[in-house]
Amino acid sequence: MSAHSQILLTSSEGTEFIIDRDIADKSMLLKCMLEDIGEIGQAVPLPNVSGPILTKVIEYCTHHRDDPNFLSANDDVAAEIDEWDLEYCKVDQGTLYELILAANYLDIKPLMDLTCKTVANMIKAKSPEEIRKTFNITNDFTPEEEDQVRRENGKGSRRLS
Amino acid sequence: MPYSSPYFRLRGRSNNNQLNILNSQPLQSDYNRIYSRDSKIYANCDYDSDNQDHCESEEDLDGYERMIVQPLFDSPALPELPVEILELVCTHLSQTTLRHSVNQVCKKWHEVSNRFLRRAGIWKPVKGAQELLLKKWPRINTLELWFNGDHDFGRNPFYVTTKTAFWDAFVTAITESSIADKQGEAQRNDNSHISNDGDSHPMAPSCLLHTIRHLEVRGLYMNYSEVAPDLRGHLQFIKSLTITTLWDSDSTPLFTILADFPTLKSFNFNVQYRKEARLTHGDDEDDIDEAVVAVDDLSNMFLERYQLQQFFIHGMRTHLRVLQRLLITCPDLRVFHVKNLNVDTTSGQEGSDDDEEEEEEHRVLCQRLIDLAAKYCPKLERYIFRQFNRNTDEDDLRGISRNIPDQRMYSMGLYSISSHGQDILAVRDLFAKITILEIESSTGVWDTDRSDRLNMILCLTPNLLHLLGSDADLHTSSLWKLPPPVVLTKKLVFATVGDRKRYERKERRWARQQTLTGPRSSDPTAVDTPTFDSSIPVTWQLYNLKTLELHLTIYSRVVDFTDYISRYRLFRNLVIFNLGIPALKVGQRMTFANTRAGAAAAAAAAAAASSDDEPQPGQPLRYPNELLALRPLRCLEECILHANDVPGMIVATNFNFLKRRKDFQTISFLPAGKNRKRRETRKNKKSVLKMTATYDDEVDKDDESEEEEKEEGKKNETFWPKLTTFCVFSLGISPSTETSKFKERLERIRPGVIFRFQSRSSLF
Repeated sequence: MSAHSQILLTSSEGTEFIIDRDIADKSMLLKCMLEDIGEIGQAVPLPNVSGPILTKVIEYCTHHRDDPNFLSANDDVAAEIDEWDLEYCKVDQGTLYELILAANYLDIKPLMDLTCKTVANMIKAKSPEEIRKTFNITNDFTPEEEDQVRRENGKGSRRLS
Repeated sequence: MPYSSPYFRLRGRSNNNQLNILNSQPLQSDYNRIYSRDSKIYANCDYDSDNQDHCESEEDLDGYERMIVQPLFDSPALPELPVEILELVCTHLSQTTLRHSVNQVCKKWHEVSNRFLRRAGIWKPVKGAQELLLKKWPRINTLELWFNGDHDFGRNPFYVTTKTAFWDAFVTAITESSIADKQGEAQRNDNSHISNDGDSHPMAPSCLLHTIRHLEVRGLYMNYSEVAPDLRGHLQFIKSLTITTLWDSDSTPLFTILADFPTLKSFNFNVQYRKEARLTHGDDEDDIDEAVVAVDDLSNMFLERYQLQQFFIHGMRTHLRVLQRLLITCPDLRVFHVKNLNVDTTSGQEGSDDDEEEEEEHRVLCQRLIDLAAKYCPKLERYIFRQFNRNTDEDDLRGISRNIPDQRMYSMGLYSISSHGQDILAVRDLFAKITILEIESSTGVWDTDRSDRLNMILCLTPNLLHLLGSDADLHTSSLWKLPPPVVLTKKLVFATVGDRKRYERKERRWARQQTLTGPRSSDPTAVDTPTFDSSIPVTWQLYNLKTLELHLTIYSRVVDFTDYISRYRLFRNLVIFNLGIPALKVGQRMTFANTRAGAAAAAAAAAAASSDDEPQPGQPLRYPNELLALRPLRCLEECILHANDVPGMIVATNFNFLKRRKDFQTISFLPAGKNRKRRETRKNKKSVLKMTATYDDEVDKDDESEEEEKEEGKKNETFWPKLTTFCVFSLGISPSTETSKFKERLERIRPGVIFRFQSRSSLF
């Protein structure tokens, strides 16, 4: 099997994408699928991924196509995000969520880590009220429940510690 | 920019050109055009001529961050974060964020984050609390017990005590063996060759408490003797024990605790207020007459050994023998961190009137402990021993340096007036290798000596990275100030021109030398009597500092401190700036110019400021912003100010200086040839200057002016470009600044920064 062979992918809208095999191999789902059934010359349907999101995913995989540590990405939570990845993740929240789901579906662990870290960075060092604003969440706790939760988490513990 | 807005910004180069075309309703031809090519298309996209009309304007701006594209999805509202994604995100968050932020957002987030929290607390003896806790149990490894009241809820105290049915039921639930374990235990008992006496294997978990690794106890006070009998025998899996109380009414038996927790690695006892809490042996040793035991015999007396690696104590009273026994019996000890301790010695003369005798006793005590630590704890990495209200002197520092040569963190107490800094100069070589320094000098009464000594220490620590001195008082008068210029009044009337010039040169050289290596006093008259070694720096050497925690005394001027920082180019790599200041003046004065009193005050102040400028009626008087001088701290991420007072009236626009500015590039419109000519002219000019300069000062001045030009250029940059947190805590702060609206306005000025304005009274 040639490493330069091309694969045809079809997004949920039916849009077709031709990508190199080595880029497709970044996705564990596609890699296993192609190894199992071989290249049959037909389009691989991806019904859970829309065209624009697939575009972004391909962009990511293309940028990291020569990255030797791609599949063995470290699990260090504190690992820093490089500059290109930071720029890549500067998208609206809806796109970010779709990217996470796509990365999960296509089984691209580095992309999933990157997007989850980006959302985690949006949460870090924020108060509950700030998080609600950022993610447009309605507080459905009753005042009593909110008080209870706050106390359970040790309201005074930070002062004492 | 909110998602609902029609445009959002994507930064990047070529790939965004493609995305620009791929708007919410892309054409099939667009996809084909881009993706039917080979992979190089992603790196450098060369557009076909017939498609250039799509990105005509962008092509001109190639390389600039001006790409505006539409969202990939047309969504009327922000989509809800799916549970699956939230679970994935939670794996990237710390326990603190999960506990204090995510857990309190909404019910869904509460439920999801609960699956990832590894800490659970028991604090309220209500119905259902125990079931809830036991439900969480399989995933937690840290148990937090709140004993004897949390004074946050003083009127309706919620607390756990050992005398309630709730506590009994809870203890029974976590200490009784599970059925499976009971069966396993029965099987083990059958195998008599494994366990003849019928006891289960000590290292096999058999109850819920055995899954806990970290135990934290908090509250007003805790009586260990009441709690321990219920849990004893089930604590063999706990690795760390942290006790934080406001005061402790009972003695804490250290070696009973170490026996109850046989695998304990870290012990941390912190008493906040009262210094009467006692740390005792907890066995027969407490009854032994201390005076009859010689120090040399101690090692033979204590044959037991414990696995303890970290030992932290703050604010207690104990006997010297307890500490000696600890050092002898814990050979794996790596951290010995004891602060604000009252130590009773064998002679029992604590509180003696004779200061010299007391000092001598203290010195012997310190020496004895450090010798024991060096002898019995070969793995020791950090040794800190500070008695309550005692100075750390030369001998203490030398002792640590000699016995633990690799130690880089030191803790110092500067309390009483002593040898005018000579002891500090004597250990100058030691200060040069310190990277983390903890200093405490606050006693409620300010004196110049402590501040001067602190200033001197900071002049001698060039490698310091973290200064932790939130309780260290510094007065700005201790900081070095340039003496006024020397005016040459004498004229050698009958001397030749050459002699006169030589004499003037000599005078200037001497004056310059005094400027660089003069005495530390800020008094200009002291210039004539240099008594210090000229090699001792007079200004702070903190060029690599990352963390600064300091407190300026109430009579200090913040502007003096900020000027000092900018004048000597300090803290260029500072990340955390935590400063206690007497007053933060950034807003408008209370006296309004449109009132009679205000107008008079405004006129007087303006006249005092400059006689040329006419006071403008109706214009409110503003404080000159003292924070502006801190612009050079470009690496700053956290700015935390503890102000005694925030006078006047603050509005969000007072912080406009924090507004993020657009980065710009300087583009030269001159042709290449002209540019070269300009460079050459500048180079020649510099060499001419060098040739004509007769004094070093003039060359320095030239360099300085260049640097100043650079600084001027950087004024157009964003103020503190890496800032993430800006907090002001104050005793006297306008209630309007604590509102969420004020915070919102600030966040609009500088998005992405957490702002917090809080009066210190509301913290309690």
